[in-house]
Amino acid sequence: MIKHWLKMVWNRKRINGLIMIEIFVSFLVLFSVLTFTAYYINNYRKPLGFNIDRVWSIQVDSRLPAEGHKKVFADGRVQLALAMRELPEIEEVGWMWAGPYAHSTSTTSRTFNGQQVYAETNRASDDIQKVLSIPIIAGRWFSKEDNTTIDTGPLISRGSRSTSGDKSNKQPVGSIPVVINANYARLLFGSKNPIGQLPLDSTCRIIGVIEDFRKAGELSAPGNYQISRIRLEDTTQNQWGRFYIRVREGTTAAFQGKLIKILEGVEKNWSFDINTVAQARESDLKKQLVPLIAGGVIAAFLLFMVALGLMGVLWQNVSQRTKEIGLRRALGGTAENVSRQIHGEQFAITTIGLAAGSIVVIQLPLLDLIGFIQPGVYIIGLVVSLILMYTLTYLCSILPGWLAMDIEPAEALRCD
Amino acid sequence: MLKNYFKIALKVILRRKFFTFISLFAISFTLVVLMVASAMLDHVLAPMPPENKQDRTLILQQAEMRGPENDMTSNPGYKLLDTYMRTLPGVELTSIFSEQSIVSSYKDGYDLKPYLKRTDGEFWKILEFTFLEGGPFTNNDDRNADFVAVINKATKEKIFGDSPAVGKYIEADRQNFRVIGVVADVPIFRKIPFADIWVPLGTTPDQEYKKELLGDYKGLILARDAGDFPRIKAEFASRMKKVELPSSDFNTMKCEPGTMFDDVALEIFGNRGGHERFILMIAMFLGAFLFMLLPTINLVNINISRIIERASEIGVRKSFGASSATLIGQFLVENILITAIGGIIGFVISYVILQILTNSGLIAYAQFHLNVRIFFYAFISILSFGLLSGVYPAWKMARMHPVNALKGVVQ
Repeated sequence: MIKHWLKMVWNRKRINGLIMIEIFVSFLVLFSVLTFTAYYINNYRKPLGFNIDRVWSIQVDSRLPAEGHKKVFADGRVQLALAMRELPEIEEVGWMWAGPYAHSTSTTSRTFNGQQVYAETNRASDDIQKVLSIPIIAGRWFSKEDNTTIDTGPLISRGSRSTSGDKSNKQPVGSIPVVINANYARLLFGSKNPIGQLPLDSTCRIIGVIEDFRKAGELSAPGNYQISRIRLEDTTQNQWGRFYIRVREGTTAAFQGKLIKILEGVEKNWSFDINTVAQARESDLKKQLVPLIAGGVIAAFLLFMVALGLMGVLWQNVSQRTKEIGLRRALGGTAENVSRQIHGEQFAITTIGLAAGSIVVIQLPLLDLIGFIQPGVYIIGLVVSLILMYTLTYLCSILPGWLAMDIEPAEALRCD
Repeated sequence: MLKNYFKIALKVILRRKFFTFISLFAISFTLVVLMVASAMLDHVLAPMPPENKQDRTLILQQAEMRGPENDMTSNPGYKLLDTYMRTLPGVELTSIFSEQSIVSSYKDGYDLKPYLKRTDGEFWKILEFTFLEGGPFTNNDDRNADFVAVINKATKEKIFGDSPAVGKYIEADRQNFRVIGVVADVPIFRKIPFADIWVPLGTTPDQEYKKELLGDYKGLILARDAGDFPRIKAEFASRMKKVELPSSDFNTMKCEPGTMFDDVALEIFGNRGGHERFILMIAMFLGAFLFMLLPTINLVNINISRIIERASEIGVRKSFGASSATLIGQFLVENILITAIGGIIGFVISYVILQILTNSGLIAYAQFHLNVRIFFYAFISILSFGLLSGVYPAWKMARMHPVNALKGVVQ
């Protein structure tokens, strides 16, 4: 029977060829949309590693040139933190280089087991863990215990703007306390206990493992993460960053103005900008989702258009083949046989188109073009788009199938 | 004869309503996407007020200091632009402006968070802002560090409501400025002119920036003629070789003036050794091509079905001596007619979508318009769409043997 389907498809190879190409391209569109959707849904379900409820960020600008004022900055930071801790509205005060949804990113890369391994790096103060409720799965977060060590972390800027003056001092091995995320710990040490070990950057020493820290938010891919310690009073180098504070339940935005006045009272010439992290999250999510939704809507319309077109072409095929179908009915073929023939041919065409599409899609992981997409997500995308394409083409051939079943042998044979 | 073609075309369109619907849907949908996309690109790239002289303008937006161990990339600093750009010979005007930054500005205890840009007097001559009230500040204001400001309409309405703003004072970045001008809003994507408040460079609280080679500034060069671009670029490149670098860590300074298009390409793709422009162009064409591929195949399929249905009509025409060229011509006319109808529908839908986008406030101060240029793009794409999807079926039809055609047999 399959042989017969294929034969009929071959007999009308030109028009069927075009339909195959259409199915092939539609499949590629559907596959990319579904794989990306699955990718983002998968990311969304993973733990974020922090909680931004009631967390505000305070940007501090001293209006002084970066060079030669390290002590002024450090003193200012300490004074501001002290002033804020006294306020009843504020529960926790911390300082971080780039907190949740901040756009600065810094990465470090080393060779590990013959492979280049990248880790995102960040710096945070002792209190950040409480501000952002970062879950710790092993070891501990930074504390006063670490005061004996020198607090300088590796920070290699990869953004468009690199900060000057951070000359890499020669640090003794294992002198910088760092926490890393579970992903990174698993990569480096497998099932061994990572606490007390040195990560790739041997000047650091791991004191704790956090669940994760997906700074870029819910849709971002999980990766390797390393956070080193910042002390507000550190004067050895410029500690860029912002304050992150957790306010008490029921504190309203009106407190922002009041807080700024208080901060301006502490540091007369500095300027401050307060935002809730939730705002940053919302605008970030919007920026990421709008193009995704736009792409999804366009793809949906494209597929709808293809479905309509396919139905039209099949319909035309059936009405053109009235004679052939009528002959088959006259020779004893049932209406179901005819309908099965229509569906079968469509199935054969779809299979050829999808086979070509799958061959192209399989090249992607083989050529390592989509390394950031997990194999599970890729397979889900592939399987679901294959199923959807078959369903779509099946639905498109239902109406033409019915039309074919309706053809009466007598009427068909009479027509010329 | 053309009139006859139109009559036949209308009959065909009305006969198979389902096919007509599919064709119109595909055409109008494709056009909507292409037009909305080009309106957005137009919004970012095309010369429109205040950037009326965009074709003669070069921008300096990135500088790079290189050394054996360290590279530093940033916006150019004030000193670099002041020393090496402002003194360029043979150009009409040059201007320096800071990257706009969000500052605090309180109105009844609520922070408006406007974008503030610091610049000089020439800025207002290179860019032609629409002044609703007052006028711009001058180079003298910049030199004397006069605390004067030009604000945009949205900011004016937020702070002063309907009453005139000129002569009144506003607070921004903890400084007080006297408003001397109000301009129409500029969309946020127009990165050169955009800001809510413009004030003289001289009012920067700390004068340290005047010593920086890398910083947070951008330069604008208005050439007398676009033909001068290569000469200006060469002159600037030779000047960059003579820059005195701050330390022995660095040995080269790289900073190239580019057009607005180069600027956007650089923004999207980063530094790709001067090929950003071509990469952007190829990416744009490739994107449009890939997007149009599926609708085109779909239309070709539908069109073939339409002809097959009309096989006997073609057979009759052929038997009575119609040449292939005549038939191809007729079919193309029909196809272009239906594309044009789809095009009109698409145009209306695009207009509605762009209106919704403009009013949604998704992008600050955005004004998406369907102007003559976009209409032109759309017209070209409609035409090429109609021709592309019609040529293969028309050629196939014209090759039909009259006998087969009469019988309605199509291979």
